[in-house]
Amino acid sequence: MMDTIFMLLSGALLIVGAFFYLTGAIGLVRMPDVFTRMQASGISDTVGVGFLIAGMIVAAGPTLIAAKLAIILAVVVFITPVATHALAQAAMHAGIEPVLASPRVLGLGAGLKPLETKPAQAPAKKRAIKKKAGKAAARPVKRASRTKAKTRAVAKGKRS
Amino acid sequence: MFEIATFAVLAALALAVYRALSGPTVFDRVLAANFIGTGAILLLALVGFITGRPEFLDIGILYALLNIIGTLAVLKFWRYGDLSHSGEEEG
Repeated sequence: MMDTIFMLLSGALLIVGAFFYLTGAIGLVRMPDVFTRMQASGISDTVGVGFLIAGMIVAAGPTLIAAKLAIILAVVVFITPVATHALAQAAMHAGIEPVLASPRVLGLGAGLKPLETKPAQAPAKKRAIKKKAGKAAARPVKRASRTKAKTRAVAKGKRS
Repeated sequence: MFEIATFAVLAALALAVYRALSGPTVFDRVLAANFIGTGAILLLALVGFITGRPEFLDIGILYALLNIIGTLAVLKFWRYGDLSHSGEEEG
């Protein structure tokens, strides 16, 4: 009875861990730049590894194997943030700038690269974003916020 | 269940290998290498459970410790061009 419960619990933990591990790996491939890829691989290295090793610990029971698995989990949990931090620092030092969705998001105009995911649409998109950024810079801030509020209201009306 | 988790980790490792081969900067490759190191630890543990040989876990601990050393060594070499550099910024 208890054995079946433990096996089911470990199976569930392993499935959840495998799902999160795969999610992080897909993010590692699909994210646009180094920093967002670090964030995606962080999912795998915390939740994915945590659930997978927890599932194995439940399957192993209170033995030396579980202790070794706990040591592996502790090492991974303490060491991966250090590696990620060193990697981010090295990337910043090498002059790689984070890619932002749009220059207007942060209220900054110059020096930020717009997001380009598909090279086929890139020229038109680039021009549009540049135009928008120029308008935002020329326009007073108050009016920009008002238009934002307007669009929000329109969106709300559509929804309701 | 162990088999499903093993296949998921293998698929994740395949995606990480793709990122390591195609990464535009060296940091993408280092990140993917770090990911592959963690995946290798998990794969060792899972295969150890499937085949009933838990000795693989010791190798997993070793890999976890080698992983950080390798990552930091590659990053330091890329930044200073020399592993014996003291790490102080050059004025």
